Amino acid sequence: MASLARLRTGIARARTIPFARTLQTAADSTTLQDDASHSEPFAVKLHEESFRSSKTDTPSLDLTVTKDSLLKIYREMAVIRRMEQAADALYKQKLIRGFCHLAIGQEAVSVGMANSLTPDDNIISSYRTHPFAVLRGASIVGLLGELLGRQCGISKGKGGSMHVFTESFQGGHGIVGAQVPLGAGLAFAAKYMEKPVATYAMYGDGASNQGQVFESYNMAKLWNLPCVFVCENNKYGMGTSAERSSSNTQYYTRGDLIPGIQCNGMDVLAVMKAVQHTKDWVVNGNGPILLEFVTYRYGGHSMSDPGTTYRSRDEVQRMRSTHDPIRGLQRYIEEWGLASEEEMKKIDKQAKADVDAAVEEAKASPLPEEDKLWTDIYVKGTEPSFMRGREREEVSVNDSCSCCVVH
Amino acid sequence: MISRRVAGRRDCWPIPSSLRSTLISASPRPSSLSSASMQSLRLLCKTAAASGTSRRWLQTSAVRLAVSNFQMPAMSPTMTEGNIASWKKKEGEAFSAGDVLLEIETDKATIDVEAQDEGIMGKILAPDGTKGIPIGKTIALLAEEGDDISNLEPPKEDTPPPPKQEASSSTPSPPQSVPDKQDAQPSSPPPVRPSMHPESSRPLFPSVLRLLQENGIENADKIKGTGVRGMLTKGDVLTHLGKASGPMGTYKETPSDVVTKSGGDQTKPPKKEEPRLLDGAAVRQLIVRNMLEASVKARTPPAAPPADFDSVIADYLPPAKAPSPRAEASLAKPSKPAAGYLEGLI
Repeated sequence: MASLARLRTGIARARTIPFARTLQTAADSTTLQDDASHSEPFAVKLHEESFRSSKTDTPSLDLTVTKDSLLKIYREMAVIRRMEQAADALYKQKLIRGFCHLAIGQEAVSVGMANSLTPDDNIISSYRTHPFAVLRGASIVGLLGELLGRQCGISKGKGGSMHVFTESFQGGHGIVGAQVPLGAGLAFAAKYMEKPVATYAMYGDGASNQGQVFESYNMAKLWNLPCVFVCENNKYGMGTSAERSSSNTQYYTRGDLIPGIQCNGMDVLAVMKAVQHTKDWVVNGNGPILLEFVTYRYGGHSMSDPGTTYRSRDEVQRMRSTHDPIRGLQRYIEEWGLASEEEMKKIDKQAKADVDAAVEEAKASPLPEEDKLWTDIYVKGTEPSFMRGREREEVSVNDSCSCCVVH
Repeated sequence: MISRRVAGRRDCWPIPSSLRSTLISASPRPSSLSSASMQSLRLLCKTAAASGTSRRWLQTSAVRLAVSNFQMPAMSPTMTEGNIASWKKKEGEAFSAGDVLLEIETDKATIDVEAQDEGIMGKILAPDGTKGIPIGKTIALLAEEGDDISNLEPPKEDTPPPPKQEASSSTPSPPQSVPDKQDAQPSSPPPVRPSMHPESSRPLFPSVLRLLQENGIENADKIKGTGVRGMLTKGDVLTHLGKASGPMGTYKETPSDVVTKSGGDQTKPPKKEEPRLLDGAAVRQLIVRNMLEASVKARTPPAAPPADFDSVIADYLPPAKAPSPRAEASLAKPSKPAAGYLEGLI
């Protein structure tokens, strides 16, 4: 098996020969620059292959972090992975139904972004967004309750996995790529209101071939909007590898006149640096910029996809064992002497206990009441005088007008 | 991985980390811990704990024995039960996240079940080849590294599998609301419904099936079918119920004023009152009538005068010449080529 793995990497390298230097995606390649024994900020240096750029300079490799911030990030990543695993388990118990897209393996992107931005900055993303909701203000109970369709859910149990919003997170969106124009609109609003905030419009490598993504690029560049288009490239769309679906898989180069940066999306520190850099870029009036995170998901596209029909199990296990973002951060923390292995284990156990408790609390919450079906559709004060829809009681052919329910 | 913590499984002694590490390093792989060695280890722990000097051995951060139930997972939204093809991990074997624990056969495919977390296979409750295991049933016990797995016992099935719970909680509500609706209806058919399926030797249209169900007709063979190859139509059912004069007739029971009004429009000339409210049938009739008229008109073109050279060439001549000599030739122009052009298309 080891020889097979070696052979496979050999092939992968041969395929990327046109690019003289490839982005490295190891999760633990950052080196310590200062003494990190106490909680004052210290400098670290990212691996020199952490970024690549197109039509702009790469971000600098120096980053300042603190012990507390790294431990907080570790805790968040551990909690989010546990939460996603709990969602997976609940789905396999048939307690969560319908759509459910998990981000196990991509924690570095969400946690790194959330830790480099302020709540005023906008993040809008697609349907793989459970981590963002939790990192931007929702509770774990609220998110799991939403997945379970319970009253305690952040959309009161009526939205589900694809419709999670918080005050500082503009939503998971179910239509592939449709959030990108919305993100451009948010950026337009920020510019119009002269607010110094950045908007991160996120999409995956699958959605990157949508026409509306390119339309948004065009308008953003035309009007110099403070928008960062973030391609979360986890190498596979729904059952198709990026190479099979995109003529150009260097997603950071696809913005025509818009500059782009490619970033190692498995190292949370590299993500933080890239986000800080792009935020400075757009807030200083340089117009839009593309940001591609090269990352990997361990599970299938959704719960209906076993995730092993278009890639080998060996590949997934290799990424798990060598590129895992949480294990990478754990290695930083232990090697730099910030915390011991026991303390890290303790954090892991606490994360598991917290999520288990949240699962039980969410399961105890009741299902939404039937008469609340017609509420929370419009913003308060903007409701029309009647709403149209279907109800399960209308079984009769005789009263032909029951299909238009007037309230 | 389906994991539910078993409460109250803390009766075993925590194993000192130093001991555990020596044991693990002595054996080639942690997975090959035999139950015998675990027993001896437990003994050691007990004696150590009994003596007063052992306090410092015991970890202060209590090692919790995390034995979790591994339940039959639903690998697809439609799966209700599955068979175990084979276990890929033996009892006592360690696994890491992403390893295949077992293969499950469902109604559609054979699927590998991966571990979400690292741990040790504690006890397999449903061996290879077990058939028809419902979702949610515990099929194995998983332990964490360092747990005593020698005397694991299958947990009592105190909670029923979750899908049943959900079904029982969601079903009571619709029947409550459905009868209210039914009572309001003018014709009160017997309340036996959607579950009842009418018997018939012939295939039935969905619309007919629904009509039969709503009117509680159980044996559809009693009704004579007048449709194609004797198929039952809605008209047949309505005739059988006495609600229509014949299978091709109109539905008699029309208490709502909308239907009567539009029914009147249907017989009167509907062309003149086009902006008025028309029902579906009237609109369809109107469309069909107009199409028929257009079609008939197109198929019988007005007799055109015989084509002579001048009338043919007239189209290609400059318009200056047209007014003076060939008034009647240009008159015949529009109808004839149009008819010829459209011929065969309509």
